[in-house]
Amino acid sequence: MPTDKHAGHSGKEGSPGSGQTIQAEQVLLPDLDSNLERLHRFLGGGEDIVCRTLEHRSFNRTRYALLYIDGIVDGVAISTMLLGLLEDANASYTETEGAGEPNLYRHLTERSIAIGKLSDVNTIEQAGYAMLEGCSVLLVDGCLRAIVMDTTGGETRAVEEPSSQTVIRGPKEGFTENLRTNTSLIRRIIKSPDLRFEYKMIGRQTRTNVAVVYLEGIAEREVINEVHRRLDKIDIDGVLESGYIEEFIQDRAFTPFPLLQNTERPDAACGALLEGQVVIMVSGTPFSLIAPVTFAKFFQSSEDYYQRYDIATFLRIIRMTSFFISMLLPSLYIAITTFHQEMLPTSLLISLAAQREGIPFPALLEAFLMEITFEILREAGVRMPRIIGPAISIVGALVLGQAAVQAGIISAAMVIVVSFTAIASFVIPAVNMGIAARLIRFVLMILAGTFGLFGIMSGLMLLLAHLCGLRSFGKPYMMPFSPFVASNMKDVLIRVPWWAMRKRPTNIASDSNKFREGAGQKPRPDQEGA
Amino acid sequence: MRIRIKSFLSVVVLLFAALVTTGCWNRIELNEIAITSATGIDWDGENWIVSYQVVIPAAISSVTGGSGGTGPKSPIIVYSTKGKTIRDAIMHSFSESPRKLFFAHNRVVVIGEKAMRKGVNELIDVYFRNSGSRETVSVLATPGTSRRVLEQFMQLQAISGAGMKEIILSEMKNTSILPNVPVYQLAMEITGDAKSAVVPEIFVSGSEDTSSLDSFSSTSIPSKLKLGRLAILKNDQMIGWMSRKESLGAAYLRDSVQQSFVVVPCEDQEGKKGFDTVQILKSKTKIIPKLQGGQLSFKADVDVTGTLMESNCAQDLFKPGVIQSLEKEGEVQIIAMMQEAWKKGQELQVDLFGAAEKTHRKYPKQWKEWSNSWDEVFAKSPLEAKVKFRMARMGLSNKSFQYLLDKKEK
Repeated sequence: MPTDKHAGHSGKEGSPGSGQTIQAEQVLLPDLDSNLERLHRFLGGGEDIVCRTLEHRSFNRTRYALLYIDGIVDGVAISTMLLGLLEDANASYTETEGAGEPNLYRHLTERSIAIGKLSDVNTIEQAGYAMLEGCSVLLVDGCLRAIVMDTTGGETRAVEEPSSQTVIRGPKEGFTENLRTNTSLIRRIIKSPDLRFEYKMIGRQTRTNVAVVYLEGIAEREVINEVHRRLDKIDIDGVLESGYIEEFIQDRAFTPFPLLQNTERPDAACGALLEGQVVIMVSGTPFSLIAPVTFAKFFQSSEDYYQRYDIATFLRIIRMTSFFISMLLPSLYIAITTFHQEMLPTSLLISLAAQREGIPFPALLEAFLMEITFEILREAGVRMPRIIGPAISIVGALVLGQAAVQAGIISAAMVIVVSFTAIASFVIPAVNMGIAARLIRFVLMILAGTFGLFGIMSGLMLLLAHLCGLRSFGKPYMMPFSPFVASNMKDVLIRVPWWAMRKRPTNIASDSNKFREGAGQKPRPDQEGA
Repeated sequence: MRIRIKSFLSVVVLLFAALVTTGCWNRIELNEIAITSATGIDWDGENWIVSYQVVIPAAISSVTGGSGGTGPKSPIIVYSTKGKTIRDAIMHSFSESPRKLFFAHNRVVVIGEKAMRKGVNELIDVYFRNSGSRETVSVLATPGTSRRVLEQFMQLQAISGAGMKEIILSEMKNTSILPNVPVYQLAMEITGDAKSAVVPEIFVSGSEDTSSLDSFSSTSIPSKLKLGRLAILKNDQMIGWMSRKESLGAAYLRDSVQQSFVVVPCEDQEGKKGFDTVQILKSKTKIIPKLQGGQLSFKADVDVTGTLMESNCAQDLFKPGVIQSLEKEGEVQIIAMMQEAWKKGQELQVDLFGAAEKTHRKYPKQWKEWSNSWDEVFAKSPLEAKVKFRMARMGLSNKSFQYLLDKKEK
């Protein structure tokens, strides 16, 4: 379909603001039938394109047509509107406002259509794209404009509890695939006139709606502009998930660490907005992006702010520890058992040596075998159909845990190390950070197997240098640590009580609006009682 | 971009090279090392004989309830090699051991009397020169050959090397009779002003050996490893033994008493004699050299705190004077012990008590003169011992049971 392809390409250029002259053949003509025919051709036909032609009893029996694509429109809205139109078509109007098309057009827009949001277009292309968005189009015979009615709707997933970022205490609703639902979830939490949604369309074919959300006056102008600049540069034919966008707009292409945070929790997104970050929402995915972001953010869960601060602090320390365990434990085990046996207590050394008795592989290979086996198991667990899940876990636990040790292929200590590492890697709230730790783990294991602790230390130093060099939308990735910002440390490794966190994180939020709460709110029961 | 890819690739190649050339590194797997738990050193007149007590990890884990194994296996194996030097002997081990000897977890080094009398400087050199072995290894002396000591099994502890270390540490902590002497301390004492050192003795008590697992099929084992006397070293050579009583006195003088016991004779009102046992909880000794009219003498000030553990005299400890008399008796006992040790030291012309350092510090000018013939100067210097004994507690009952019995009879 050459015309379709052509239209699709020019869609990007024809988007608002490009200022291209409208081609003559695409302009709506006074003849309804030719318009309908051209619109059908533009959309490539298809059973789901619904065209309903009506004839009005008044206005010289003018013909007009309602068009929409079935399935992506709100059925209830359509039927209500159609009912209204039919009733209106059957009514006879005696006012003589001069017969003619413009009058019917005005009559329809002002008196007849039971839809909140209306707009008009004057080309076939615009009408067609509006229909693809889920709008209904009303074409009136003899009229050079068409009415576009916002009837977007259709089947979407209901708001459910987020599956990847769960909490014990806190809101249970999560983003859905529908952008409008997602923006409404944010609107419902932050009822501020300063809340800004700026929409974009990315993707030549998918024409995905992207919303840039921020709080005016709290988010830094520079960052907002930078987000817009980077988003505008994207030229791709399809955006199916926010991950597409993430890879285009992150500051550095080659790094295992995520430079943008993603969340499917509206409360987490709102927390980010209140701290001056910018949220990028993408239609078609429940995962929104948050930028700019620091390394420490990936170890924070929104629950940290709902649980009491002492609990939250404890949990954060546990998460940080788990991160290091998940990154380092196998390599430390390899380094110590193959290079630095003198560092172990004697009884531990003897029991480890007893377990290694008769193991055919060197410790490095043993660790690699187990780690890779576990990664395969984990991946199988994610991909396999839910029904055969238990079977796989039984096979995994038995074959890897018990049989491998009993057969003398793998030492029991290695199984313990690998399983502990695996569990620790799931403690990190951000899945992408957990994956980063897993990738680094393999590099460190090779270093440990070749250079011992010396190798691990050199690896960690390189890693630290790399981390300190990273930026997220121009903000240093390791921010509260390097450069050191004392006031931000209140909410990094520890979380101090809410009444003590007066300032928003500096260097992320705008400098003009530093304080987020009143001073002196520490509870003092004796004064209240007096 | 091309340069970046090039440098990245070269890093990858280098890393890969590191991976394949690991053979040159000191990487060694756990099942390629022979963990030595104790080393023995003997001298047969011409050669050093080094004995190793090597742990068999698999056997240990089967002893402690691991899987597999047909009947009990010996958790340790002992073998010896001979050589012109100690390290030469160790080198010979490569020709008979399938695994590389690993000394980092060695707990004790047992030296036979002959080797002790020959001198320990070579051993100390080996320890300080090589990074594999630790200087915290405890040194023990044995009257016979060290190999026999290493061959003995021990009750409760499967690895007797580790057990020997535990015995000496517990002895030092609870009775303070024998000190734990690590290699570095031995070296320090030998090179100190007094050029003397002590090494505790370990010996096989009993005529038969407990070197077979069959010994453990009955409730008592034919022989045991036991700590005994204290070996006295002058320069690096052993010159004699000190009895346990003398060595406790020496421990007071060396200020190395952590916890100890003293048995104090007592008497009730009717003149019946008995003994009280006092546990020493704290002890502090100060040795002060004094120079009067060209005659060097020493004063030992000892502060002791104890608690009564046992009393079989019919005493009412609440009565004034009873505790004081006990304290007095304790002082006498401790002074006697110290004097005995001092005399033994003078007899052997060895200053074991750190008197040389104290004198050096206090009289640096005269020291130049004394340092050449310190042993003779020391042998002539008398000791004046003063003990301050404080009974801190008397346990949960204040009157002795004998006292209550006597009262009932009346």
